[in-house]
Amino acid sequence: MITGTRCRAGLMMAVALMAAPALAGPDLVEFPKDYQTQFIVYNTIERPDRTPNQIRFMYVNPAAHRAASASRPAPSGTVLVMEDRAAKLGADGQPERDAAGRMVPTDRVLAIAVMEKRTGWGAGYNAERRNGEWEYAGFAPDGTRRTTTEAQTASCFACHQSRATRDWTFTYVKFLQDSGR
Amino acid sequence: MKPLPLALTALLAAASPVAAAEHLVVLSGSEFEPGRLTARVGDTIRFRNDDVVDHTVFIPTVGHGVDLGVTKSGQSTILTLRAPGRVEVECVQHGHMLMVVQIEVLP
Ligand code: HEC
Ligand SMILES: [Cu+2]
Repeated sequence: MITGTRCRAGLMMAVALMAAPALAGPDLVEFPKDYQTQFIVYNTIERPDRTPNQIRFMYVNPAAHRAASASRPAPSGTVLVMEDRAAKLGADGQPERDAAGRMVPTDRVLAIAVMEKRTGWGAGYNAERRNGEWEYAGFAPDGTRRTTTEAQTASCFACHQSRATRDWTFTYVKFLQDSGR
Repeated sequence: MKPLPLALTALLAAASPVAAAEHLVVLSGSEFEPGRLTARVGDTIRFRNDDVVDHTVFIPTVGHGVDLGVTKSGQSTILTLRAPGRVEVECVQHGHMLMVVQIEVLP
């Protein structure tokens, strides 16, 4: 244990002594453990194509959200959380729907995806991969990391690339635009 | 325009003598065809992918948000319109693809 700590400390010193540390990789993203009570839900996206059917809850941290507008969407420190929840099924096996026609979620969380933006992040990536200063990470419902290597988050960067003009987000900047902020 | 109370919406849809319609939207040349559509609550839209590349029907509009998953070349995906409003339909793979659906309840 002690040896391990020393070893790690030594390694960190070596890294610090080298040129600028590479500000890239899924480990930069901490699991936002209080997101369910502290963050704001700004949208939900149904996934009827998935088994089990799911509803994705989109959260943003309030401090960043207060400062955000469509023209200046996500300040440094923005954390977007996508929480996949299983849909409630009726006796017929089909998802139940509320009066507005929306799928009804259960409390069962299936997966959590996070994207976080901080000044200087992404600098370690080549231009082809880089999505501005965003970093991505996937977590299990208990907060365990599902992405530990840069290879495992390559698809996150690649797919979100199609929304480069919306600050690489599918729903958040669209929400700001649509709500006239 | 303010949306009608939901109970009223449901009532109107149920009382409607007109059967629900299926609208066809073709995904071709990485565009939605037509790009604009007026439809009613209860109608469906069939998105048919006539391209060789994959497309993914995705709606980010709050209150209507849904992602139907990949529609492969030659395949179709059905979207049921369950609530009134102005809805924007996008494609996950192609950021420029956009269509607008105006969903109305029967007068
Ligand atoms: C195949 C494309 C694709 C891949 C790969 C992908 N995403 Fe996304 N992401 C989306 C789409 C589309 C949405 C909107 C929700 C939906 O349609 O299901 C989204 C939404 C999100 C959101 C909510 C904010 C926003 O942009 O709307 C987060 C956070 C997120 N993704 C993180 C990740 C992470 C982390 C990974 C990798 C582990 C990842 N995504 C991989 C397509 C993708
Ligand atoms: Cu497309």
